[in-house]
Amino acid sequence: MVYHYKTLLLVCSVVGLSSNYSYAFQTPINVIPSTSSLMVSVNAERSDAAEDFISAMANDAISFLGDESLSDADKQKRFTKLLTQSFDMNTIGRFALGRYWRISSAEQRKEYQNLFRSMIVDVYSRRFGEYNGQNLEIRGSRFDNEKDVTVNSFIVPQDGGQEIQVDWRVRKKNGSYKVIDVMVEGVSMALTQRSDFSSVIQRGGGEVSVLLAHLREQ
Amino acid sequence: MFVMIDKFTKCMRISVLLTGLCLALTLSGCASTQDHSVMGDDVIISDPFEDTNRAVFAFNQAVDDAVINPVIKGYRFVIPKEIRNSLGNFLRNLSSPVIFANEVLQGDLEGAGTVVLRAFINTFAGFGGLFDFAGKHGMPHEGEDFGQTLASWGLDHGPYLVVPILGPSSARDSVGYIVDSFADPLRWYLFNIDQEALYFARTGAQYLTLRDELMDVLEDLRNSSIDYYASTRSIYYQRREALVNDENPDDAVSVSIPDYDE
Repeated sequence: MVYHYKTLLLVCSVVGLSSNYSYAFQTPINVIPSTSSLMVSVNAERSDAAEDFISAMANDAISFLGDESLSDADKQKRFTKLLTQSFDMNTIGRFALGRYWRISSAEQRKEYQNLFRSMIVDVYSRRFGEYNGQNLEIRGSRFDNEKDVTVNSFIVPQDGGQEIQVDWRVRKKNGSYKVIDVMVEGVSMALTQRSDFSSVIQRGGGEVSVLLAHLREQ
Repeated sequence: MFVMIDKFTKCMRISVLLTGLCLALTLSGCASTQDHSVMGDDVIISDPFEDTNRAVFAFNQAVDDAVINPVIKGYRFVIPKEIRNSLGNFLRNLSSPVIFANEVLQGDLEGAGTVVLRAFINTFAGFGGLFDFAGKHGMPHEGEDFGQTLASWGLDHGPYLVVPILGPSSARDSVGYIVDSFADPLRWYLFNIDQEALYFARTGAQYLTLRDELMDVLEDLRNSSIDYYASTRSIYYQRREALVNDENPDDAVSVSIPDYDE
């Protein structure tokens, strides 16, 4: 038994020692082009306009989130503004309510959309509040249909951790782009929200009011 | 030799038992006439054991709060991020044989080649797999498992299952997990040289790194959802679909979001 622990300790000390070498390996990383960028160049149907839209949005967010002269309240205000400008809240909200949209009254719909909007703002400001210098690299895009484009991006951590794939689904409406869904590692935020909401309503006896009560609490 | 055979039969007996159990679960899932699976227009994953699953889910949450998350916080406090990354890389490199086998079984020979090349590069240039050197040069890690292989052969999830401690799974993916564990050459090797403890240490370390990677995501999800169970189930399904379709991302579940203004 003692032997096993010794082996483990050995492994651990090797891990500890070798971490010093990691810096030696960081220099060549940017020199060699990644295959992903090669793959993307094969895809002829990229949408530069949609990519620029996401890139501008991300740069805007990063510039004021990293600005230390701004107070948290100011950041929150600017973030809310950016989010409501760039996200198509009505579409996302309506999608998230799924088939229950049809059975809800006009007042319920109105209240739901307001609550949904503030919930999204809360969720995303919490997520971006944890932002600490990661890069968002846009690596391509593809057309889903004539209106919708999926922009592929990656969050690249500074500390050498695993990259996170973030796909932005954007829709062109009245000449400007709006985000209609964010997919993280293949998981759609809108679909996850819809599953959440429909389960709450189902377990609440099919009443939309039960969901509204929960949203009011949040 | 006899010890080996004895061990082999013992392992086989356990695996047959477990596989049988999972198959029984799958079949009972099929036989159940109650339909909990279709949620209106959200065809997610069939969940005939939802009540039991919710109970196990609550148990897992209690274990997370009482034990796992505090342990992860301690782990993060004591071990620097670079070393935690290296441990993750090292463990991923050790899984190469299983990933390779699954790539072959899925008929993805190019993927299988990448696994071999990755393991070769990372083992030599990445100090025994401590650094994901290949990943930085356009050969990212792809986690293939037997659950995905079964999916590529056309097998559906079967019922959704929440496994104690391990968390979300399905009948198909549970069978896959068991097959992967028992097919792992490293397991055979370590058991044959009487180093079972090392094997279990590896399994423990795998669990630790997984939970370390997931902790923030799960916390975020818990805070942002009303029915955390339902959100987790949805994410499990979507994530597995994305992994199964990683070769053709265009086939992955991309929900159609209607234009409501029209």
